Amino acid sequence: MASGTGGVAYLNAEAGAKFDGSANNLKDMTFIYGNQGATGLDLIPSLAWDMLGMNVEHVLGIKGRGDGRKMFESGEATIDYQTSSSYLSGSMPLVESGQAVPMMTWGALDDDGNIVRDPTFPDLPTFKEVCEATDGCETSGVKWDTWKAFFVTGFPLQKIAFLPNGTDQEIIDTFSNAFAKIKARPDFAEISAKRLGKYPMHTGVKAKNALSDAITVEADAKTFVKGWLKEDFGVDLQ
Amino acid sequence: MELFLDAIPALTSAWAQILQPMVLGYLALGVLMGLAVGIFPGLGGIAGLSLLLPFMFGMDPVLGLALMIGMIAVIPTSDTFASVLMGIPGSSASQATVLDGFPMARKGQAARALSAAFASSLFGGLVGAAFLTIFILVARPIVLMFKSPELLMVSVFGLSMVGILAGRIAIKGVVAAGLGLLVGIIGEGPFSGALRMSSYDYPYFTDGLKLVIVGLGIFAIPEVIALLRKDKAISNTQNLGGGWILGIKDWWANKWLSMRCSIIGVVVGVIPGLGGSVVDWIAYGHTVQTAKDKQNFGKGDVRGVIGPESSNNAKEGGGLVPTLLFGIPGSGSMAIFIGALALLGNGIDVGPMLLENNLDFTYSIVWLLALANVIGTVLCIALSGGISKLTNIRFALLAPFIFMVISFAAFQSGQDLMDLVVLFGIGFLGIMMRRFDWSRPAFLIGFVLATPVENYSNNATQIANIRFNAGWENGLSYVFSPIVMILLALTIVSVVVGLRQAKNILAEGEVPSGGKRAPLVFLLVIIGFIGYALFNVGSIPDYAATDRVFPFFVASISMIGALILLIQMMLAPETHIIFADREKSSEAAESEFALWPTLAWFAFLLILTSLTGFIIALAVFLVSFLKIRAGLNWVKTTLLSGFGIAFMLAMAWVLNRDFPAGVLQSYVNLPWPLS
Repeated sequence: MASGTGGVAYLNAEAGAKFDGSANNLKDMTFIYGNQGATGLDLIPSLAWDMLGMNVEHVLGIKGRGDGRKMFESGEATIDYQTSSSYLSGSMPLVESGQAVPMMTWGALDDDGNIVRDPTFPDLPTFKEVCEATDGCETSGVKWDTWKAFFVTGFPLQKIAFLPNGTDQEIIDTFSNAFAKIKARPDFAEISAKRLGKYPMHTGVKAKNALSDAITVEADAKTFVKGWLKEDFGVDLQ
Repeated sequence: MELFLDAIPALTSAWAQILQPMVLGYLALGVLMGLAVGIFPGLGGIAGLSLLLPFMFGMDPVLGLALMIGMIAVIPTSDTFASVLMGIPGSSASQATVLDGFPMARKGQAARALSAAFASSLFGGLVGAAFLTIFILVARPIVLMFKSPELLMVSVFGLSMVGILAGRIAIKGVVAAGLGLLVGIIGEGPFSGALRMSSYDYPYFTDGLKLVIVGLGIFAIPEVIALLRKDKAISNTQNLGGGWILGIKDWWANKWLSMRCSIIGVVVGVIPGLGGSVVDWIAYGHTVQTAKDKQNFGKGDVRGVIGPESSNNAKEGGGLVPTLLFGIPGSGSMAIFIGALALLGNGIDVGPMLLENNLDFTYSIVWLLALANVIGTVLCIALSGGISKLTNIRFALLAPFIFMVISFAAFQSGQDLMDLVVLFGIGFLGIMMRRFDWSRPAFLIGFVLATPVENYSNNATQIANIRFNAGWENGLSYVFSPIVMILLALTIVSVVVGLRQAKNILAEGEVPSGGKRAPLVFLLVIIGFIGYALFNVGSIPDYAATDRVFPFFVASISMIGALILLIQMMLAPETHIIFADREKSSEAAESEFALWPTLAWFAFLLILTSLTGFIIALAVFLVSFLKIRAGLNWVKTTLLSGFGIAFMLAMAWVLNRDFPAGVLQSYVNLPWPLS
């Protein structure tokens, strides 16, 4: 079973007022972001903001995105991102009260592998759109390919259910069928939308293909990311 | 004001929801489970809640809540049994209770200690629930005021409790705390993953040491060994009963203390990330600092039981605030609690929406908490008559079983042989610290606070730097906010008062001096460890510099302190208190057995486990110990050993655990439980 989620980045009120669909007006501001770790899922927002030319100071060592959201709410951090489910339950109140202004989503993948708008947040632009609108940001080339590779692993295929190697085929089938049954429920879309957002769930062969998509990273992208992590974060990947 | 008026309908509706027989029944069930879990040392909320988790699927929310809260609320009440009766911290929230509770049991005042503790626990729990009722409405903005500098100051304030618990020679306490901090740092650094005092060759250490193991090792094992050497019963006198009313009267006489400590418990519980294990030390420190007559602390002063027990029940109520309001678990058991909430029938989502959408549900939680405390206390009082009789049994009969339970608790999380090795190692350290009068509470406080202090100091520094770059005032208002200043003042007062009074608080009891050599050797070993730590963290490469700063700072201060001690030792005469050595005391003279042979028994269990796996080793250990050391006949030996093994198997089966494996298991595939 392979399923995914999305992510939404948002700004505080001050920066939100300057946001016009591109990062052009944000380049002279300094943002503070609570980062869980340079090599974790936070790699994707970090690289995205870097590509947009934004000046983001990372406070490393946060223990969870929940803590990161609390930092944003108390004003210690000035930019944040959450995965879809936490955004829906935790950050929406901030948006409604005006304290937070949504900036962009990371997007979702269509069947051909293109980045399209996140179905849970159809009104929010994707990073791809914001990048195209921002001076100095390119949606092609090594940086973009790298970002997209890690994005695919990190979000649309974030949740993959694994069984240990050597498990009986009977057990594998039981699980596969159970997942398929859940997906076939008429109210599945409704229930999952409330919790997780509107994301497709793949089972069976599709899930297997998704796995190979998720773990394949081109050599160029690898080289770029290693260099970028070393330069910006001082992390040496062996 | 309207805020409260609006809440009243929710309050009453919650009350109505709860007063149904089904709900109360589930609550009682939860309480019973909580009692069982709390009584066993080392088992805590996490083990208990994980047991309940599978049953939460689709259960009716109020019933599921009743079950879970019944369990959580009562654990800080029932953990008192082990702390008072055996000197073994029942859970991480109950460590301070041991300091005065256990000496009271030894004096034959177990009943008095227990009833005072239960009254305090009940009161603390009710205060916690009441506070939660009101506070939860205004909590959000207050919790948000606690940013990194404020959280850092709270942790430092917790550290300052070391001052009062430092013992007769202040520097020893400081070095002990430094040692605890260093041990707490072992493992991967939080910022760049650099390894401190560990290597991937021994992957066990890269995660750091677990609190359960360190807590049990540093407090429980030395007490068990000491009692075993005397080979009498825990209680010095046969007098057990009759202290009941006295205990309750004691509580009433100190009700304001209980109230203050309950408030401390709730407030510290509310602050996310600090961990409930510090709250009882803060309460104990406060109790001592505000007491006029400090003579008896550490020797069996009932106030030393009332303070911590009030606070640790209250903290459960406080801990629910960040959990419910922010979805940030205040502790490990709260993390499971959040997960369980999502599994319940309607799928409750914690977070800011909870108050808007489900206020009556929130208040159900509060009322359930209060009720659970009441039921729990009543049950505990009913049970304590029987359980207290354990203190009259000859210790050689109890010891192997206590040790068995401690070992089980130790490998709860990892099921790794290394858990037992570390338990033994820390236990040995604890024994030596007890012998040479080094403050063990100081060590534990350092251990517990290492992670928060490091994380918050680092976050605060980073953000402060960014802010100072943006403007001088910007930075100053961040770092020196009103809360920080208040906490800073409190900390300084606490340290000053603490150091002045520390001479009177004998956290380790009276320890005479005599003979330079043994204490000196111990100090040299400590210096060796600090030196190793210094070298190790000093060699962390520059790109991981953030992982190096804090450990280096701590190791340097500890080294300076230890060297000062060394110089003092070289200059002082033999009878100076710096050369405390319990082996020279009357306690040692009374002991029938020497230290090393007694220790050897447990080393035996450990080595055997590494060879044959735990259960086989346990069987051999129980039989040989009961026969040879306790001198029982074959019938009794087999009966008791059989009972012990059966009990272990039952526990492991219920909790679905494997036992640590030995060399034998890697060669031969054995069925559970021998695997």
